[in-house]
Amino acid sequence: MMPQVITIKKSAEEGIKEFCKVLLQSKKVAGVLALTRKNRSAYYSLVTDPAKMDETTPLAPVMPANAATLLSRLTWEEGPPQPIAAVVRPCEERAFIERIKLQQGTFKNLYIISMTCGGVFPLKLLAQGEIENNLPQYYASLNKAETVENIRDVCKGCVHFIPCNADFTIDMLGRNNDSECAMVVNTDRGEELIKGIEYSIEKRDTPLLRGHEDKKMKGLIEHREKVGEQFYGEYHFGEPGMAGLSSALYKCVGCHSCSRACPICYCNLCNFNSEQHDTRFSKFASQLRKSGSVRVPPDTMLFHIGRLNHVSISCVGCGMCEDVCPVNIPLGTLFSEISKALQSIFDYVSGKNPDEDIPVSTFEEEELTQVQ
Amino acid sequence: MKGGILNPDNGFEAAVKNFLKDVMEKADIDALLLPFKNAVGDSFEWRLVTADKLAEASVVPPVIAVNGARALSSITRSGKSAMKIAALMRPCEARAAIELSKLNQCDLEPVVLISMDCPGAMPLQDYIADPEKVEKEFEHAAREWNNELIRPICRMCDIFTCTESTWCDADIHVALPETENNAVAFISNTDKGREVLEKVGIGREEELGDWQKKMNARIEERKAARKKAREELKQHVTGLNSLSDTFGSCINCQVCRSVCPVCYCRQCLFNSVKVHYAPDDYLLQAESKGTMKFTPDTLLFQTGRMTHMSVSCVGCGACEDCCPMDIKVAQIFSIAADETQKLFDYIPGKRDAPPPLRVYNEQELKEYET
Amino acid sequence: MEEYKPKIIGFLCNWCTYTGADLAGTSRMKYPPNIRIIRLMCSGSVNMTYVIKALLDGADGVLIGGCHPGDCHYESGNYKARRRVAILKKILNKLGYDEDRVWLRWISASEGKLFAETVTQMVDELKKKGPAPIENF
Repeated sequence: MMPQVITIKKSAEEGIKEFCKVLLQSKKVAGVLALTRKNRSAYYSLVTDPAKMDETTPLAPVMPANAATLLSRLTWEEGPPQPIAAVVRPCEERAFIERIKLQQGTFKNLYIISMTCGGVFPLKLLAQGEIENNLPQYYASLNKAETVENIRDVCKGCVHFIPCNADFTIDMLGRNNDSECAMVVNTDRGEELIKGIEYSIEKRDTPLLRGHEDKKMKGLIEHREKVGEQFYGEYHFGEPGMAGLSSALYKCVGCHSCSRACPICYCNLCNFNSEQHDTRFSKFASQLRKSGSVRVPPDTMLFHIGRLNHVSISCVGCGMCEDVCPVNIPLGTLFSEISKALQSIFDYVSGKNPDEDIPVSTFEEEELTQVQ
Repeated sequence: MKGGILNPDNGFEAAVKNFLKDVMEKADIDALLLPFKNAVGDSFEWRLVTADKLAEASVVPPVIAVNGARALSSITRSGKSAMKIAALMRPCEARAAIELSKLNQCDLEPVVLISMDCPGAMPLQDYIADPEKVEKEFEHAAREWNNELIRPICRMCDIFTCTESTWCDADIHVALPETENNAVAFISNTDKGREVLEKVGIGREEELGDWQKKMNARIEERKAARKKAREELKQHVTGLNSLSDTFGSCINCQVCRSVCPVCYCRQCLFNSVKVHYAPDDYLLQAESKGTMKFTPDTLLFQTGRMTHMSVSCVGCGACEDCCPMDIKVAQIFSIAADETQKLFDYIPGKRDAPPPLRVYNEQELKEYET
Repeated sequence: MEEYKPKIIGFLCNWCTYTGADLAGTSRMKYPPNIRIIRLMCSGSVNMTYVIKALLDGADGVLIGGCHPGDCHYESGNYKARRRVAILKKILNKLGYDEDRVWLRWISASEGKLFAETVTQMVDELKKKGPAPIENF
């Protein structure tokens, strides 16, 4: 059955703004969560007044925070009292699914609008006021399903640019978005939501619907996979073995920004910040006796390997960690590559299937005999 | 001001290292806490070391990658130290360590705290982007007073030294008299410091009149710069609109808080469920203006943090060094801190002054009663 | 140059492996003294952060011992441990650390001999591998 596609004769950004306006005006939703970029600021806005949608820039290629964290807050406990729609990127939507599995949110009264994603620019570019200059190139590459040079490293290696569980997906990659916004209605609840709204709704084919089978998308996936491997292999973690990791982590200052920015790290008090991980002086003394030199504050490796162990299986490769790191450690690359390896053990893709348990939270009686 | 003078052959760094060597040999010190360039040479780190590692230390690194007070606190925070440690750090870091000791986050009893005349530091993120370039710039900048490449927070800092007007309660302060023969002077501020200097043999105290004069002149320069900065920065934060604009690009990553030496809470109030409200509340809040910034409560975090820690703010600049959105956090907080500290005549880093929020006078601050 | 003596940290479950180790002792079975044992109630209560810590702090190998699948005293603890060990080993492997320094073995209370053999085997292999090349900071 051919799904429905809403077409709005405006640019993709203006189109989605209009769609959200209509949702608000018709009281189908009480609020819309969408990005707003103003000069060097970017933040998500919770919009309740349709007129205020004009101030937003839902498709701005920046990510000041992974929206999954925000969606958790908005769907806390039983969810919002009235429906909310959120315009978020595929990795944010996937991270939110993982959060739901961790009991940190719900789909109740929440509609997800996502898009085929061309990546986001690093926050540094935003802070320097360089987003505007880079937009034409960004959209030009997006139209051709190519990867623009200066987006986040993890975006350059991302193969999950097609959302899995959105109610609506704006088709952007590989097509011209200047004068037409095409949005695929993916779910029944999405169809329910737009009942009675007057829009040009067609039943038609678009590259998005062929998903990974589409030639352009396939080509992009292959290209991105190679880039991801290359980053991990040479560019960021050059030396073989742990030496590469150590080299990359020496400059870590222990700020734990990566953990706070990570949508999967939801603990209020991180284990590694707790008293459990304080080092007694006697340990420093004995290490000093052994080697004559102890780096302080201690436990940099333990924090990163420990965090890998805790959350990397759910990592969606959004790159927030990398962006907020004050010393430019390529954490996004590290976490997403480890994530791929872990997910392959269990044939798991984080955030893809809401009904699939996170592998650490379940087990089979007969499995993994090779681990013993 | 008096201090023991050493006339070194090989400059400031060598003089300090020789001094530290003597301190370990003659003054019963078991270990040193010093900055070192890391193994790959792309940043600096703190190490607790024995005497034989001294030669590789970097006495005045171009950046403050990790605040020395944080490093010291991580060692002496938990469990009693059986070893005596001599720790060398910049005056702002030493002050932060003293603040932390008052807040029970750092035990200074086994520590000989040593500060030095500070030339300032370079912006951390610039250094990370190009370590070689920024190191060269620092070599030049450190020799020239008030070089424009030094961080803005440093260029408005008036506590970079230890004279009678802006003393520093470190046990020992290393001064650069910059006399003809490049002497280095060691000033003791506490009994512990005096004892160490005597044991090392720099007990004889000489007048440092010239140095004091020069430092006082520089302090006045910086005080004027601070006044000017206050006028400029006030414009950015006066009124909610300016405040919103200035902190508009804040993404609530809270790195400013986590690298701040004085913000020691393991779980910050502004990162806890206490500031997470129900979805209904957020929708109501959004409805009042038709839209709201979400993540909410950015200004609550910034101003709240200010009310919590500004009395202890030493203007070290760790916050601004790490901010991913290039907000002038240190400059703003430092100016606000001046005002809150003035309320109590409080100077962070003074050992015998209790933290203002822990004590009170029955008769005070009547002007704040409405 | 000191002779290299592999250090093994053992996280052993109380009901099976620890009791098995005890049996090896009371039966006077010989096995190398390189293992330092930490007793927990269940392999499912092993916090992998401590395994990582052990490796970072200089353990040349870590042994996690539990009941055979189906026999866990708490029913499913060992199944959970198995997944966690799989994840940790994969991470170590991907980071370039030899994952075969972390062993998960099912040793029951009556398998004193198996315990002694396990430790002997592990020490032999670790001797061949040499000290663990890991940097802790």
